[in-house]
Parts: sequence; structure tokens; C-alpha cells
Amino acid sequence: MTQRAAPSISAERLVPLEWHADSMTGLTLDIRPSNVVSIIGPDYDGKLALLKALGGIQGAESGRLALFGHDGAQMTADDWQQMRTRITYVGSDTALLSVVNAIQNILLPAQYHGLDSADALLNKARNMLAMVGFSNEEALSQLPAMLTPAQRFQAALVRALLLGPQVLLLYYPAFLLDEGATAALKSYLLDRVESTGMALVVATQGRCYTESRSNFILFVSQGNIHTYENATSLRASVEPDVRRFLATLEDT
Amino acid sequence: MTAWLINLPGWIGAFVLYRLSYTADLSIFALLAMRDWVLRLVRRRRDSLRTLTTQMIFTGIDALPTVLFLALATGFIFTFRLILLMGAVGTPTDMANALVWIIGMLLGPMISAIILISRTGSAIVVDIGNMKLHREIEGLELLGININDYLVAPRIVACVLSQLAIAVLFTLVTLVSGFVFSGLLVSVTYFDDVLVLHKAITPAIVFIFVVKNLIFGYIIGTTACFHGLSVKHLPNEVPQQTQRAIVNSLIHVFMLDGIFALIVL
Repeated sequence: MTQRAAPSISAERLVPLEWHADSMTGLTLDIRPSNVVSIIGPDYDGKLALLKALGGIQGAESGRLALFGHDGAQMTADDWQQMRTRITYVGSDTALLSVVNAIQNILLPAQYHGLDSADALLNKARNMLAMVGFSNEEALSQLPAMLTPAQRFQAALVRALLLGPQVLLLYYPAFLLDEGATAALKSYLLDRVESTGMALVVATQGRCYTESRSNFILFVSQGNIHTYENATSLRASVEPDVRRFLATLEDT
Repeated sequence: MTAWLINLPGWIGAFVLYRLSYTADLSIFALLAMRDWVLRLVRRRRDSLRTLTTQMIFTGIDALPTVLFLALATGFIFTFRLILLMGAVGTPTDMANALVWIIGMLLGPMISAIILISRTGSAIVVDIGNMKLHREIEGLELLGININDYLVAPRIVACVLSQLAIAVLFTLVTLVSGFVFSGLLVSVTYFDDVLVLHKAITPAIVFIFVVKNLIFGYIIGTTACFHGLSVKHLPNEVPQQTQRAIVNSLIHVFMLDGIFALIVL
């Protein structure tokens, strides 16, 4: 996909909920196919609110949001329901259904939308689980309560990816997965961005693993958003919050 | 005392307005749920029917042992005694008419509804309420799954069909078992009186019976789903909404039964 493809997400002076709209101008950003956007910073709630505001999952204090050319403020409940298969969100707060096992959870949305046969979806799911570092085959037949937090996150992620979204909003707790699983996840997601044109917006607690590939890096701190075009300009920033945050990461 | 009398019309008015508002909310909720389900059914999604089938098995088939036991008990407690009473004062035809009306039109639907409310209605509220509490429903909505179509409507339809099935089974077993008990414990001539029952069952009675039970099932399923989805943030809301669902279901079922009694006068 070329850089001039129509934006998947277009935010204009977007201020997430519970931020103080009068003290900031908001985020203006176009996210296009194959773009990678990293949201970093010390503010957990701020990053999550921004991520959800970009996906239209939570409302915004002010500003305008357009998804695939459709004004978010004009969309009906049916429109939003259809949009959710194109823009999916996965975070540490994403819950699986507690009454069905992991593999049934993973297949359920894709089967609901009639995307493919049960066998085909099962094969795809198994491949994806392997690619994101889910190594315990036996855990697939367990209920979510029996899974580790990392396994639940991986299952929720594959559940969303099976829908073939055009945008993935990912709140990724950096210390949830071990080093090997993190590397596998990063590799798989970036491959998917290149091969399918999926846009990836990832918010993370620690050093963002997509820094090196990001088209935009959004630094969030105390209700402020600083936008950088790459890791180099981020590291060259003179903003005190940014310097403090980067210094903290160096120490860990 | 004066203040109490002055406030009484206000309380009554407030109660009536609350009931009307609640009924309106419930009706719109149910209509939207059924609309979404019918639209999706038209597009031939098999999983809609699969969800319905699963719910029918839980709501209807799993309840069979309980229904059979209660029907036999009711047959012994009510039908048997009614048969003896009516047998002493009227003809077998009079007895059949009275039994069909009392057991078939009144007791059968009502007890079936109570079984459905206590067993299935409460389970639906707890099930959906816990899903809401743990944000599982939010997780499904964020993946484009229509909750009305996936969770709500199959449960409503299952309650409708199950109420009718349970009521038919309960009524038949209650009626027949009463005669069996009478024949075994009093006189074998009562066995012959079973055959008179069919003369009392007219098309009008069957129609009213079916409509009444369908509406009962609709109310029970809708109320349970409505209150399950009303759970917001706290675990103690689940039992609170369960209790409200049971009480509101009973109130509506009894009110409707009264309305039917007026209609058939």
C-alpha cells in the first residue's frame, strides 16, 4: 500500500475522554494502511484512552474522528457493529467468554461472521497461535480461567486477527509475554502489516518494540501528546517528560 | 393519617407510571432483539439456530424431570380432588369442562410459568449478568457480534417455545394423572371419564392456551435478558437483578393472566 492510500483512521484535534480539552489542541493524525503507530509514555490511563478514542471505542471530549471515510459522529449502532470487524481492539483488559474453552473463544467471532468453514478457521487459528508464541496445545481445550494471563492475551489477539481486520489497536503490556513470545509477536505483526496492509496502532508500557518501524510515535504524558515521525526524532526531543521517560527506560 | 391519605394517590400514580415505563422499556428491548435476530436468520447464519437449540435443550429438555414430577404431584393434589368433588355434583361432561378450564387454562400455564421463571429466568439473569460484569459482552461487541442476535433473542425464543412445551406436558400429565389416581384409589369407573376430556377441548380453548403460553414465555425470556444486561459494575448487582427479574416476571405473568381471564369471560 502506498503512503497516499486513503486514511483508515483520520483524527482531527481529537481529545480523549476525561482529558482537559481546554489545555490541549488534541491529536491530528491520519493513519493509513500499512502504517505503524506507537503510543508510549508513563501515563497508563492516557495511552489507553487515546488508543480507544482512535478506534471509536470510547467517545472523545472534542475533535473529529473518521473511520474509512465515515464520520464517527454520524454512524449508527449498525454501522459501528460492522466497523468492529475492520477495526479491532485487543488489550490486557479484553475478556474471553468464561464458559467456553480457549479454541472455541478464538473461533467464535469468525464463525459468527461466516468468514470460512470451521476446519479452515481452526487451521488458521492454530497457525496464528504458533506465530504469536502460543506453544501449549493442551491449553486450547482449557477454560480461560485455567490459562495464564499471557495465554489469554494471545488467545484474544488471535481471536481478533482471525477476522482479518484492516486496523489493529493493541494495548500490549510489555512484561506480559516472555522475550521469545514478544519477539515472535512483533515479527508476526510487522509481517502482517507488510503483507496485508493492516495498520497497527500499539500502546505499550515499556520500550515500544515497534519504535524502529513506526511511521508515527505518540508520546503521552499528563494529558499532552507529542508526535514524532521516527525513533531518531523521539530520542532527539528536548521535552522534559520525554527525556525523563527515555532515561527511565535506559535504567531498566 | 391525613398525610398518608393525601400521599396515597401519588404513590399509586407513581407505581402505575413506573410499571408503564418499565413495560415500555421491556417491549422496545424485546422488539429490537427480535428484529436483529430475524434479520440475521434471513441471511441464513446457522449459528443463530445453533444458539437457539442449545438454549432449548437447557430450558426445555433439561427441565423435563422437574416438570413431570410437579405435574404428577399437582395431579394428585388438585386434579384428583377436583374429580372427586365434581363427580359428586355434576356429569362427566361438566367435570371435563371444569378440569380443562381450571387445570388447562389457569393452573397449567401459571405453574409452568413459575417453573420457567424460577429455573430458567434466574439462570439467564445470572449467566448474562456475570458476562456483563466481567466485560465478556463488551469483548464480543468489540468484534462486531450483535448481542441481541447472539445472546438475547435465542434465549427469548427458547423461553417462548419451552413455556408452550412445558405447559402442554404439564397440563396433559396433570389431567391424566388425576384420573389415574382417581381410578386407582377410588373407583375404576374414573378411567373411562378420561375419554370425555377431548369433548371439552375446543379449538377456541386451544388457541387461547397457545397464545397465553407464548406470551408468558416471551415475557419471562425478555425480563430475564433485560435484567441480566442491567448489571453494571458490582458483583452484588447480579443477585439484585435476579431478584428483580423474578418478581417482575411474576407480576407481569399474573397481570396478564388476569387480562386473559377478562377477555374470555
